[in-house]
Amino acid sequence: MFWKKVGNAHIAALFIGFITLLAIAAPWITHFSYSDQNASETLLSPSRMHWCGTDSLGRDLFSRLLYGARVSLGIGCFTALFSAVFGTIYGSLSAYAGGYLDAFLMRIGDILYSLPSILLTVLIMLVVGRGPLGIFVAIAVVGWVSAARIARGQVLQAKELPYVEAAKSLGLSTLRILFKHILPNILPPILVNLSFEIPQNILSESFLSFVGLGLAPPYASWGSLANEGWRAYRTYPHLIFFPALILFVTILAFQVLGDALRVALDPQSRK
Amino acid sequence: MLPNILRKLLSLLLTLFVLATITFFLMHSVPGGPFDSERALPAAVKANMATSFGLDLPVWKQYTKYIFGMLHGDFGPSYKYIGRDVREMICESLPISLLLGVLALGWALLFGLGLGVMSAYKRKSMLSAFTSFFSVSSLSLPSYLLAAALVYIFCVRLDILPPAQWESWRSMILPVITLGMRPAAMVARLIRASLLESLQADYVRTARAKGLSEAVILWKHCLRNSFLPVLSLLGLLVANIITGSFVVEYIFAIPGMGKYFIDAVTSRDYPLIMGVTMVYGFALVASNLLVDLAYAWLDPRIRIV
Repeated sequence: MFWKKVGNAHIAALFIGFITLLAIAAPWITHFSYSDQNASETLLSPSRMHWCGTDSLGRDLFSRLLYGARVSLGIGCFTALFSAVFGTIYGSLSAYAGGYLDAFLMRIGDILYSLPSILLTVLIMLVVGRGPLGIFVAIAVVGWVSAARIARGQVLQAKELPYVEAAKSLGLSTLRILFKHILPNILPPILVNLSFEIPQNILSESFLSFVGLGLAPPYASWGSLANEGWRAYRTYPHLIFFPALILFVTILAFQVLGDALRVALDPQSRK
Repeated sequence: MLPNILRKLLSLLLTLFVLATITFFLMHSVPGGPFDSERALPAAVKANMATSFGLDLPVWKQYTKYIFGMLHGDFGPSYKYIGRDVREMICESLPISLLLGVLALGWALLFGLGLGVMSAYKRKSMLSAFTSFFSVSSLSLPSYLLAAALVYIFCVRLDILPPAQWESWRSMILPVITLGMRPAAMVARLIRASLLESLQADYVRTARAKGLSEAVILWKHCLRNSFLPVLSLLGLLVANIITGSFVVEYIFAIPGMGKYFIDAVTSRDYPLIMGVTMVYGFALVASNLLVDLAYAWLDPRIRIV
């Protein structure tokens, strides 16, 4: 069957690529700006002119969704990437250092991990400010711990393997062994973790924006668009339908891709 | 066993202390004060307010005052609701949030357990496919969208349940379902995976050889072994429910702590923010501790020292 042959993961990957492309090419795709208000065309239903209709200020919802994709996807991907890189370096250095330093470094992670992350995120956003930078910092500060834990566990295991011993006996420096030899070998679980962090972060951002603690206007993200739609969904259902749909499908695609990646990179979990 | 508990309790206290400290200093580094409003207040009024709330003291003094107050269960006065204590507000809203959370957790465990077991029992059935689909899509669906859909179906279209407020048991149904859906999906997924794994075990083959029915094997033999992973998931579930409760309380206009927290953040009511943060932090850390203890109690292999 076609479906089996192509596989869900390929479709998911295609969809993510497509959405990313749309987000990057937003200014060339729609000729409406995301912030231009038009008092004579408020709350229109979807039409050929406005593909997803317009909102209460007459802004074109389709272009707001495209520009929102920049914010939502950008924040999701960059925070996850930053967390993964920082966490991996932190965790592997900690594992390689060993002893008291390792215990101390991981203790910091443990404490951060056991705190309610959403509260910390909100508090940090208050300090840094309600812009894209604020939300990036807020999500990244609590996000790196899981990557650090995974990296540490993997390095601890890899440290005892013969190839590391061989590298050591060749007289390579510690850092060189760590980053040139161990790191490529422990990459798979970190990548899997990364692929699950992205949808998680997109959700976090949309959630914060939805309750009004996230990005402040004029920025539009899928979460803040959904919030605008939520206020009037009984009379104008298209305002929440489109942000909801795109958010749901995107996160679903990331989840499916992450699952496929996990199965492909970790033969143990193949069932 | 006992020293272990003691050590865990100590680490709980340490975590809470760190949380209090982080919150305090984060709140003090926020640019702008709580009394900055659209209307410019006269300088004398501002100074008076700062004095009466103790904001003119040096930071370390405010910090020690705050920590000692908290040890006595005193979180200070609210900045926004003049004349009200943070403690009093928490005492009012905590039972509501707690009830909501516990109900959601119970519903998540029951629903997830049932779904997970059924789908492991009939591996190649529609139900199994449905469970996989359900868990992946519940994990991808933001809770506010689920809430919007449920309200639209049950309140607008069918008109059988109230869309908001927190009064009768009927008004609790939708918030509890919304809040528990994501945890339920996590539980169902985990139970299914762990049941499928333990169905391959040797003791299951023995039980089959004895002629036990598949249902007895599943319920009596395998499920017990699946409880441990679920238990270890509990901390994550509680965190999930706390996070979700902000949105659910916001959408359904439930006067719980999550709603106060959002209010407090938007109006920069620092004592209220800190108080609510500490209560949530305590709930999370304490539930993690309970899980650890229950784990050691259920699985003797972990009971070292």
